[in-house]
Amino acid sequence: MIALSDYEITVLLLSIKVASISSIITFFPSFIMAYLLATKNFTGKSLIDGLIHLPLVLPPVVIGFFLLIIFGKNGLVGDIFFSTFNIRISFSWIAAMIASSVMGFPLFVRSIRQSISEIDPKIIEAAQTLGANKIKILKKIIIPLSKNGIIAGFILSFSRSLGEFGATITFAGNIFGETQTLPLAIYSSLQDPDANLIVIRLVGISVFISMAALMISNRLNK
Amino acid sequence: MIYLDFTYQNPSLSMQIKVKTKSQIVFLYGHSGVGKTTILKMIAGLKQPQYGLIDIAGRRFFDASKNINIAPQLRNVGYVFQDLRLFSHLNVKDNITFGALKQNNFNKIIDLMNIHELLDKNIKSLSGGESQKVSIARALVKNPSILLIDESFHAIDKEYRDQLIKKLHHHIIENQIVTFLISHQLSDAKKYSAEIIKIKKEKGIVVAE
Repeated sequence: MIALSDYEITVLLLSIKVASISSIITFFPSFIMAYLLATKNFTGKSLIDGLIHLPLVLPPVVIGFFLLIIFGKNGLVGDIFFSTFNIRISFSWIAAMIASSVMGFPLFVRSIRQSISEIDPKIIEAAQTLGANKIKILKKIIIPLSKNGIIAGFILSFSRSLGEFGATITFAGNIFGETQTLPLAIYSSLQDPDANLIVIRLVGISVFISMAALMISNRLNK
Repeated sequence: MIYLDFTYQNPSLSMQIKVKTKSQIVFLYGHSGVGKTTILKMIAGLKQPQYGLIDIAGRRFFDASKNINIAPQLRNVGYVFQDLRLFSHLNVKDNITFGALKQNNFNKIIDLMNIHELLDKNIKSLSGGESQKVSIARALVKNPSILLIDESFHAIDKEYRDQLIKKLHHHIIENQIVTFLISHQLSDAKKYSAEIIKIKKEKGIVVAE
């Protein structure tokens, strides 16, 4: 067993905190969006679908820039938070969590959407003839049958969050103990010629957690 | 009283159905693919006619002229689908009680279908005949006022099949359940004392006779 230093523990715990909270809070909007996209046809569906997937194709720095415009101290939402509650969102761990949520959202939605799409509509019809309303169908049929997609989506979102760099450094900065997650700590250590061992250890932790997450995700999708 | 008078059209099917009968049990008979299942789906509310009305046992489920279309979950229909449509993520007991409002009918139906030993089983582990019995039980436990049975006995052993039909017939009569049956075996109509309605195609339009 390799003992972790205080620095590594701080970075690791912050990364896990940011990844866990962002994945948990992303679940509800992801599920609602996945359900709508998988089961409904509505005007502007393609546009919404495109917007959701934007973080997958745009450079993360651009997402970070948009987040700064919205949540920065003088941003549309950030200004309200700062003037009303004296809370500064940007360059805090909340900013790192928001950046992770935005980057993980499309992965979460895709995973759940796919599993909902795979539910045979005939099963839903059978439930309707048995008197089930929409809430019962959601609770007893859709959620249980898309359970694997939900868990896989959670793991993908969590892993994406652990690896998030561009949006986080732009929007949340690289502050030790506040916003310095694993990739940011690796980046900082790379700047220091004497920190090669730390880089290797942080890379090892990163690879280990990501591999574990992917293996669980693959196992659940079987 | 059963009163069906509706028109339904889609790119592959044109249907004009008129059925008026006082029979409690109706047997729909006709070639495969003629549209018998579509008629059951109209009654269940899973498909919607373009025109006309569906009135069964004093309840108007559909009336195009008055914009009435009762949702499937409010029609109190027990539907035994041809492809069964059991919930694979639930065990047998949870499938059967899915639509049940009260549990008081449960034991009676389990006795009727003789499926006590299946209750804790996984749906995927059932044989074809067992699955059909579970599907019938699921439709009956909710105490429906209308029962729709779509060729749901073919995988059940012949010996048990006749016995089951007899018991089911007794249950239907006792509980005054209006029943629509589809079977390829015309002899089943006699066993249920059902009125036979022939569904056929005339000049490309599906009609009832």
